Amino acid sequence: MHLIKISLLLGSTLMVPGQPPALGGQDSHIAREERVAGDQVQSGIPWNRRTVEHLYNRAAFGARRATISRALQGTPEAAVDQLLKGGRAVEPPHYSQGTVEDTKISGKLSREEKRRRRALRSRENRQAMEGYTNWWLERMVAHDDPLRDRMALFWHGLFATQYGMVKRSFDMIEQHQLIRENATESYAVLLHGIARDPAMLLFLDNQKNKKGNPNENLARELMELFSLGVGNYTEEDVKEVARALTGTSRDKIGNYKFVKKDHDSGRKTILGETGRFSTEDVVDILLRQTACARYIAGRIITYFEGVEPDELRLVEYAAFLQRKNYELQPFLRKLLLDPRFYREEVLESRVLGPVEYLVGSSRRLGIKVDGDFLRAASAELGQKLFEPPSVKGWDHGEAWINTGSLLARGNTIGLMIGTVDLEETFRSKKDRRSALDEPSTRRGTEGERVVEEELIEMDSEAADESTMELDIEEVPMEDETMGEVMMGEVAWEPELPKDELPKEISRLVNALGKDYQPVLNLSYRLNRRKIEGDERIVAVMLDDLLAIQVPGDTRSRLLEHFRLVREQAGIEESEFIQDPRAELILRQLAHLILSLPEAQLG
Amino acid sequence: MNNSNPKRFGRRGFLASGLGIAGGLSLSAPAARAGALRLLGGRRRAGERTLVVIQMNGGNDGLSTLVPYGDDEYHRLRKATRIATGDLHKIDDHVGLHPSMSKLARRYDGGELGIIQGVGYPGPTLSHFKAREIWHTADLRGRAAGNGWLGKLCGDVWPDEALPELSVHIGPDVPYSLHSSTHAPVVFNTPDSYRWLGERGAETALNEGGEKGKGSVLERLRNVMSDAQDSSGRILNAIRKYETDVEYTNHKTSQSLLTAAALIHSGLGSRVISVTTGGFDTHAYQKGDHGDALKALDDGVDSFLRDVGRCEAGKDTLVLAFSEFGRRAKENGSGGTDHGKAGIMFVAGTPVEGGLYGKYPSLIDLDNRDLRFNVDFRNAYATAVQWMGGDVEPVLGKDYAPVSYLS
Repeated sequence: MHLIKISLLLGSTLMVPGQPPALGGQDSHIAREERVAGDQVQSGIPWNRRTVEHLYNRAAFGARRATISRALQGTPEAAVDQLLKGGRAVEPPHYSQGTVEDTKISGKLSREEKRRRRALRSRENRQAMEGYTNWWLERMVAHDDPLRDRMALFWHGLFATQYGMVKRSFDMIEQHQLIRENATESYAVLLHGIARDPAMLLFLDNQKNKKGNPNENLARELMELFSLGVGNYTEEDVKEVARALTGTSRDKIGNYKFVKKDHDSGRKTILGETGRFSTEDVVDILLRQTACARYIAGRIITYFEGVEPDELRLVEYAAFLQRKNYELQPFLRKLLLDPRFYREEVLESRVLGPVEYLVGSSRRLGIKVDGDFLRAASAELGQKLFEPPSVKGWDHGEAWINTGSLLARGNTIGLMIGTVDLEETFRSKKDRRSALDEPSTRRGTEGERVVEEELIEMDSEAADESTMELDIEEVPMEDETMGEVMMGEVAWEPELPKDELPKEISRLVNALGKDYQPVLNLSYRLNRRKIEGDERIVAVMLDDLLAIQVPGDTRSRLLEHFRLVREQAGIEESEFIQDPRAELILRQLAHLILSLPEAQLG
Repeated sequence: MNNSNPKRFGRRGFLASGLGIAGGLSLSAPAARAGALRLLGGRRRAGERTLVVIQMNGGNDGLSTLVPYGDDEYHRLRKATRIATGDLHKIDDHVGLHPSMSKLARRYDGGELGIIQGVGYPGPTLSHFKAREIWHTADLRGRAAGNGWLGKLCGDVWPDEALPELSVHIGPDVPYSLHSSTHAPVVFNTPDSYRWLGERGAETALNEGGEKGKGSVLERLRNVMSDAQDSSGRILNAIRKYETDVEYTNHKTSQSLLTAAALIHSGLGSRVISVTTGGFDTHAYQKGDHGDALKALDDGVDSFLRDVGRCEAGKDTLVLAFSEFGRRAKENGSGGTDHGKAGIMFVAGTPVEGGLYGKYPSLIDLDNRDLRFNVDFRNAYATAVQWMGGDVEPVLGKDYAPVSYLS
């Protein structure tokens, strides 16, 4: 039902902005082009491991080995087109409008009963929101449609709306479905949708914006944050836009509703145009502004490149975006196939946001973690989805990193792969023992391993077949982990009272679940690929786990460390991978690698 | 708890133990040396004082905190949120402190608590976010003005200080006030989780970078990592060793202030400490919630002051508590109050001359339903800036005259 509703809603607003300003003789030529095809494809992209990885770091949630080799066999155009085409169609989660109180009854309820019902509804809403957030995060890890989810994350930060203010999961999920459906399609559709989006109307008080008693909250942010950027409109424009937005409201259950009696139908002058404008007219006027194309082009380029574009490039991209009526596919294609996107300044220098870091790391590790943990962990690291800090969204780049968050990122991975010994770390110091003396991992016997390998072969084939359509990514991660389950150390022993744990740690431990066991077998993976010797092992682990290539000093420092650990354990280099202690040592190495400053970049 | 052997480190004492800590956590020799040099660098300045800034998140209702019970208008504006006169800790025949603030009320009587009334700034915003930016930067432009005021204070008073924990925020969301391009703060939630939790001894491999691209992102990340590793051992150790017989509640505000007290006692060299306490955005059911939020502040600050009062460095500590705005004069229909304008600030500690500062805003002459300010918060900041040894103009952008709340 809700999906039908969305498409109807969009159907009514799917108007393209009228009269884009003339931009020279290219218009007619461009108009004949295919939807996905952009301007002439620019050549000159150095296509190598590093640039392939760069593309997937920015336009997806990182590339794993198979993806890189496949992409290297093809062209940049093929890789980009595949990303733009997207992957599997995903079954959307079910969600509903929830319990709606009958006002005739609720008026007669006791104070106590009202309070009880309110608490019940609030829990119902919170659970729906959590379930949906898990769904989204799990989509990212599954890489169903990674560019779409990258862009959905971008728009979620641009059209930032807080669940804590809206308090209606239905409205929030509807908004997010609008964003995700159109994330790589059309900014014009998005802006039209957002200007009448029930969650946004509630968040920015537009239900209070009435004829004769205006509320300028939505009017201001619509221009400042959603379309033009600060300095491209006057205070008078804010007042006039607020008048035009009067009456654009929502009904009690979360549907868009136009309240005619609240609408100021008088003449308004907005950005130099005069008329009896409505909300739709305002959005069309905004879309006609060059400032709008500049603002959106600049935000998207900065999101993908990590640095702001220079003036010439901004002008070029803004003109292109406007010419394409804000269609995003050609814009993204142009950007991702622009040699400047692959320039040295841009490569390997963007600080990953918490969601990108967590999703990318779990993908690279090939570990299955469910949405509960990813949701709790991203919140712990400063990016609570559907709860951006303000209408301005999140601050990106280096603002993510401080001493505490940097250490916390590594610790999160440690909890995920079971290398944090909570018992030893947080219990009072008695009875400490070295983790290496008593390896708590256990392995199957050789006989079991052979059977496992056969199972894996079969599973891989089956997986290959089932994901033919996907084609964008190597077989899903189940391929690498299925059948090779190895138990990590028990994450938590119940004797230790939970309140001995710092709260931020216990929240993550709870999200993992009481009986959590990391499903991961690094030693098996290396062994299967015949990776041997300290140097090779460290090099492969670094390549597999990080989004960038690390500098030589980091590489040699880790090698030195790894060699020392191996020698201290009394294991010969040539026998390492067969040693029962190898798995724990490798997991500790993985934890270390993903804690590096280098692990924050992509 | 046991206080028979109070740990009082002089700088020299700490220096020795600081190296001990570094050794114990297998920090590399160069890292330990760097730490030692930093500490030496930190000794140059005389009068080492500590400023503790408490952010009361959400917009504190001044009318329910310092209640103008003697004003008939108060009883007209407030019905559901009205505090019964008999429950107040009366200060004079006009105002009294909220019943939850019994301990700070006693401190007020003892002359250690200053209350600044009618605090605000021209052209106030009702947005939490923008209002906090203004309070954090001491500038109406917010972040566009550059570093936060505490960041600027650090840069002004300790231009060459490299000690990472010179400024510290205890809690999840670091306020922009500490933002500094040269003196980034150390940030952590709880000291016990402020460390790398991997294999012991491996943390040296995390960061000991030789070649660092000059001015690259990676170099800056490596610096943060080295600050984190450098400070986490010292901080954890300071907190673990810390013993006090002062009781703190389990509330996180109290626990954060306990950490702050431990930092001050340990003599690590933290000069600016920031803590946030929440629960002040009371749009509905205000009476219980607001009382709880004030009680958390009351408990925490009282324990903290008692605790730091036990040492000389502690006596040189000034506490400043603020909120991003006050609340609307008239309550709303849900037993709460909406975002407003002028509010109140608290200043506390041995250096403070207790009393009321500023004027209580009129409840009749309103600024569009809101209280009018009569003390610019930057004048109140200026006092703290000067007391810390800073110059007002470079830190606050203009030469604001200080409010004389210090003895």
